[in-house]
Amino acid sequence: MHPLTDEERAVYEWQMWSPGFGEDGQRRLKNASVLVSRCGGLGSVVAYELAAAGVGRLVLAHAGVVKPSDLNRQLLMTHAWLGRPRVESARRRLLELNPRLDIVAVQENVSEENAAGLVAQADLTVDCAPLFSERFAMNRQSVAQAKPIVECAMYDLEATITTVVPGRTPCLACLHPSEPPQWKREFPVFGAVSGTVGCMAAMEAIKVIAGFGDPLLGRMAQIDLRDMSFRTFDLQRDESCPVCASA
Amino acid sequence: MQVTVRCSGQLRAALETSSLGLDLPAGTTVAEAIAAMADDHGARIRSMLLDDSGAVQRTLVVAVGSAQVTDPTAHSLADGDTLTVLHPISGG
Ligand SMILES: [Zn+2]
Repeated sequence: MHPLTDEERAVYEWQMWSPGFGEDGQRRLKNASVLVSRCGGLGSVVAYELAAAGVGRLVLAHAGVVKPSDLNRQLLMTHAWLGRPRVESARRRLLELNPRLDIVAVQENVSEENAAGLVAQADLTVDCAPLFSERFAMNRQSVAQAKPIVECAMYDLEATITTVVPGRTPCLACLHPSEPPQWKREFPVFGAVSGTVGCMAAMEAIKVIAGFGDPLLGRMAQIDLRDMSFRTFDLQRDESCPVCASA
Repeated sequence: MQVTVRCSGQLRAALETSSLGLDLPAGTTVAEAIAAMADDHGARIRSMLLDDSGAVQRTLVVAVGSAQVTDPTAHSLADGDTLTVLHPISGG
């Protein structure tokens, strides 16, 4: 494991004061690789917070070019970058914050074809995809490769988040064994909502990598910013889950 | 008995409320409560709650109190329970 440099100690000093984290936790972040897909309203903030916290390597998967309708929430995209690749805008913004960061920028969304290779490049995935087909592909590969995946999602002023550790917790397919028929890619969203759950998902990833705190293992948090309620539910594994029952 | 149902996501948007009360006979199961809720509403909400066979949609995450219920036909509700129906969301 690579040790911290004096410069890194200076940058991360205040978070290393956190009980249970310390220099050992920081060293774990430095040596960790995280896949974030996609880098939209949620994934932008996840990637930004992980870059700020000192995760060593980020694998970013996001297709397409920056559009005006991205700019209310996709905080790694900028007005000046309209019409140019989103993932390059994300890379540029992240390196402004943390020039030590190693970034693998993939100009594709996750699919059945590329999921295995993308998940293999990281120690942990944060799933920020707007389509269940992409989420299912990442979940399947995370279970097959025995790697944790933070599942975070939002709709309107609501959000849910749970952390999957294969073999220990329910996986996404335990909760939703098939594609929910009503879900559409376009949904009401404020950047402040996707940003809130993005920060929470980043903190889940930091806790799992550094091995401190109590991540949402086998629990789902449901947040409603309309009335500022926060509830957690204890989840069950599906013994007949097509993805994780035999894993 | 009185049961409070909390709904989320597109189900909440379709119902135009996050919470509603149901007056149900003692011993009603989670599946029967959700079917009763479907009966009170139109085809769109019915299709969000129940599949073509009338069973609770498997893609819903259903909880009583803070505990997920994986077999809605086997869990009987008690007076004062809060039943949460989390409609799947994937916004990123
Ligand atoms: Zn599973």
